[in-house]
Amino acid sequence: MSGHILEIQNLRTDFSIAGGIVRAVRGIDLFVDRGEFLGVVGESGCGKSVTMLSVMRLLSENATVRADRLAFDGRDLLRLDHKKMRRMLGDEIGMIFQDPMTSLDPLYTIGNQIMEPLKIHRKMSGHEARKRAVEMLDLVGIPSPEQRLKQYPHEFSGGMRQRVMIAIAMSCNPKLLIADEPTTALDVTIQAQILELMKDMQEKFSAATLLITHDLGVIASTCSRVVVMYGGLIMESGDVEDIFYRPAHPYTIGLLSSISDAADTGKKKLSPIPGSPPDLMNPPRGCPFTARCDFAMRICAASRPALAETVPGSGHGVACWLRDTRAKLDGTGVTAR
Amino acid sequence: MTVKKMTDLPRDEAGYLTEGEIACLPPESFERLPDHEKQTDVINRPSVSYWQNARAKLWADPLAMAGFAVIALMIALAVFGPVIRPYAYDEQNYSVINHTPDANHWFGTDKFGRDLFVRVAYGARISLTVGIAAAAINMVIGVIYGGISGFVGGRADMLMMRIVDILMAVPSLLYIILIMVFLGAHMHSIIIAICFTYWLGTARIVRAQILSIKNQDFVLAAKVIGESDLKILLRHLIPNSMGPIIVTVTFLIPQAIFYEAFLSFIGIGIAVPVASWGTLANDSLSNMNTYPHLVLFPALAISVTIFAFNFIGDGLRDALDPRLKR
Amino acid sequence: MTDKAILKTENLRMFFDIRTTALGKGSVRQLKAVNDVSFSIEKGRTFGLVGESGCGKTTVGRAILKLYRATGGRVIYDGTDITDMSERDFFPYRRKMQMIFQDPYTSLDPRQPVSEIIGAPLTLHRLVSNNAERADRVRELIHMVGLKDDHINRYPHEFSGGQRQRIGIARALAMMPEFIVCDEPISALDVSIQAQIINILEEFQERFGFTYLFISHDLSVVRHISHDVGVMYLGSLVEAAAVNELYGNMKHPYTQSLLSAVPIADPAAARGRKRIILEGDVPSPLDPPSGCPFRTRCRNALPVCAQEHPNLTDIGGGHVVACHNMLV
Repeated sequence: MSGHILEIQNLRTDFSIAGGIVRAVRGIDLFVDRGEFLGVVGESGCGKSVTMLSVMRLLSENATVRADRLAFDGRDLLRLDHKKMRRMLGDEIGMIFQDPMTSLDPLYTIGNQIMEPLKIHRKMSGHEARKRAVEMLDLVGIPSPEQRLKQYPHEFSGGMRQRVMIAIAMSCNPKLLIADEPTTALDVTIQAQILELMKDMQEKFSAATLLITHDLGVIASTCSRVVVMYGGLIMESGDVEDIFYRPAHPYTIGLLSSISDAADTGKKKLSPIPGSPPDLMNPPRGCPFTARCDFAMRICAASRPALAETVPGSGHGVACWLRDTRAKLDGTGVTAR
Repeated sequence: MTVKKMTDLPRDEAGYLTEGEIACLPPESFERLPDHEKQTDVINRPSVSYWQNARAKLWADPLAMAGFAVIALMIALAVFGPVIRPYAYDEQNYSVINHTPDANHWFGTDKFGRDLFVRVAYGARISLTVGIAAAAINMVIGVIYGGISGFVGGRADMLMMRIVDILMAVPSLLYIILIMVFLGAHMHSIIIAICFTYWLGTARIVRAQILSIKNQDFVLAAKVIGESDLKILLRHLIPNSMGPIIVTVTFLIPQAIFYEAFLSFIGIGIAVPVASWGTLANDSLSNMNTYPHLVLFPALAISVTIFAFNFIGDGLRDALDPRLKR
Repeated sequence: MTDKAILKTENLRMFFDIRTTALGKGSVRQLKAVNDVSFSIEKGRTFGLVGESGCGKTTVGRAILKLYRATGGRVIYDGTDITDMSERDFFPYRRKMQMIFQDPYTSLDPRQPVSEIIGAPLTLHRLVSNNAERADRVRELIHMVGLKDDHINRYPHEFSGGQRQRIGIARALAMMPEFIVCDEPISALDVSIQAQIINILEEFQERFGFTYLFISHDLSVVRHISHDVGVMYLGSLVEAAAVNELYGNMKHPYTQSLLSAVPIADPAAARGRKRIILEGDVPSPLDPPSGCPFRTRCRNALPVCAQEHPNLTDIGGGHVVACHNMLV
């Protein structure tokens, strides 16, 4: 069995909407190693959430998902029927979503919602499930868990609800935890708490964690490997150090230089990336970043560059025509190839 | 091996160049792309307003289109029906009593020998007028009342909505019978009677709409610019609540038509010899077993029209639904 | 400093009556969204107001623009008390005081084309005399925020978030105001777009001398754009100073923990630094703690903190802090 817990090859997801087809994900290869903390970063509409929802089959009916290979823990997800897929979710794959206000059912107590998956997936008795639920709430740092079990979601604050979501996601001991913007709706001080908790959980349960976010700061403080997405494609992927200290794609470079830094005293002018992301109803033929790239070449507009390693075996992949030996690198900020 | 022209390079489906193709790329491929060739901030989609978008959706809805076709046919019947046949709606002819449909009398004749086609066509005038007029008046009253109530808010809103509650608590049939008795059995009294109670629902819907939009940022933005309350109501709040209002009003038309038919049927609506679909059905009821065609045609007219308006309403609801947007 | 102030709030208070119904018993409780907030902004400068959601920062901005009627205190604009001014008297000030909203998806009327959204204030304040002049001015404004002629007759839903926010800026800009409340103008935008908006705001300040009240929860951005910064917690201003003084010499424990919670986009620095992770949640503003609002989460809380609300005290150079620890 390979070291990959999740393997995605050439995933393409389209949505048919009034007026045309939105090509949300346009052929990406991705893997998650056992026990690793992988971050997928990108702006809204880049396809990062759709990628994961496609794998989980949680998309609406107007979506079409195609892939050469989708495998979880060595099992081919493309051949799995709907029922088996559903059974896997919440058991072997845990999920946390962005909005802690809507991801819990207001009609049921917190205890009910933690115990439900335990009863379904682990066939636990009511008593066992309750014990486990109390244990989980305690683990995610909710004080007096036994009383809290009987309360309803509206009695919890946003941060507390997200803790409950983590407790639910981890209760069945999943092999993979997918967290889609888990801290975006939270305040900074609460965000710090939740990120800390997620790191804790990852160590305790040694589950692979896939964190989807738009926030490079969140990535830097939690992940060991990063995938950068743009326009439905992967632009760059590699170790967190590679991405932050040796970025090789103009988009990654642009992202890093457009964020302001709380630790920075100087009034340096921010260098934004000009323009707006491409309209995926009518995706550009070449590299999706061409229109906003300062170093775009003719080939960039004409053909899509493949994701290739900067140094063979390094695991640092870049999809950019500037990697071609014929491209002139002066002034691009892109370092050695 | 041939080098593909740039325009021939694969477009979307996993379109990567092969190693060989890359090796053969012409040198100019690696020249900088001039800024003016970059398609930044360009919107490729054609510009469509909310109403244009709604119209396109409506056009694509076959049921709604069928509804429109039927209504157009009914209007044509109402306008030209009485004219194209050589009979008046109250013209009695005792030589052709209770005839079944034939070439002279398309829908047959009634017990006084009056031509049923002309009478149904004449009834269409009354029914459509009542339906459309009642709905239009409802819309105006409902939008003004609900708009003010929702926008002003506070105590005024409280008071205005309690009045609506009280009026709604009394069975509407009671008012309608009272008004009909008081004003006499005319078309305009039916319209007034229906309007008297129907605007309440419209007012509630408008108020709910206004309330939900009132606190949106674009209304605050209008205040920040210095727009007056009246202008905000007319330029922002009402246009933005128009979708649901139109849907509600469209569904009011068949209700009003039905109500008119119902009132005429129970004998307090339009007075004889004027024909409405309700009176026609009522007239023929006594000998329905012997002459079923007399009740068939007016009943068919009523149901087809109501169906058509409901289809239009459904289509409008789908087309104007803000949730389908974005 | 106060003489040059274009905008000043003095003990601004904004309380809302909240009707609560519990088990059939209705009661009215006061939500103290803004409680005794005083600060001043000098002409041509940016005052950054930071705090977490529910701290009252947005309410401050709205009360200044008279979108709410202040419960107490004063708002003084350019020497004139505008707190109780009627809307009619305030109309000329509407031209001078503008606002940029947080959510570019709800702040533009979906039924109006861009030309109307930007053109409306021009007509309203009679800044143009005819339609041709108005169209010219709209085009000029659209170009100023980096959009194109082709965009003028389009509707808001056709634009991306960043483009919409630029339209919102063009609308505020239309009247060439003096003072602009920027209410979280970038928090709904993508990272690569945020910098565009920040740069536009900075560029316009340089060109036209705008004064900004920049409301944000993002300490990094506030540091970048502001000259002076105020920190709010649960309706109160807890610390304020010039930007470098504040970030270099934070005194209030809340400010310190807020800064340390900000994620840094640098893996080594993020791992190396010691974070002060605040325990628990922000208390409900309906039921604030007695004394200092922060005491329930404060590491250094003293007995006095539960009893007395600390006053803002100048610790030198206009750096004010509301903390009992400073006074001891």
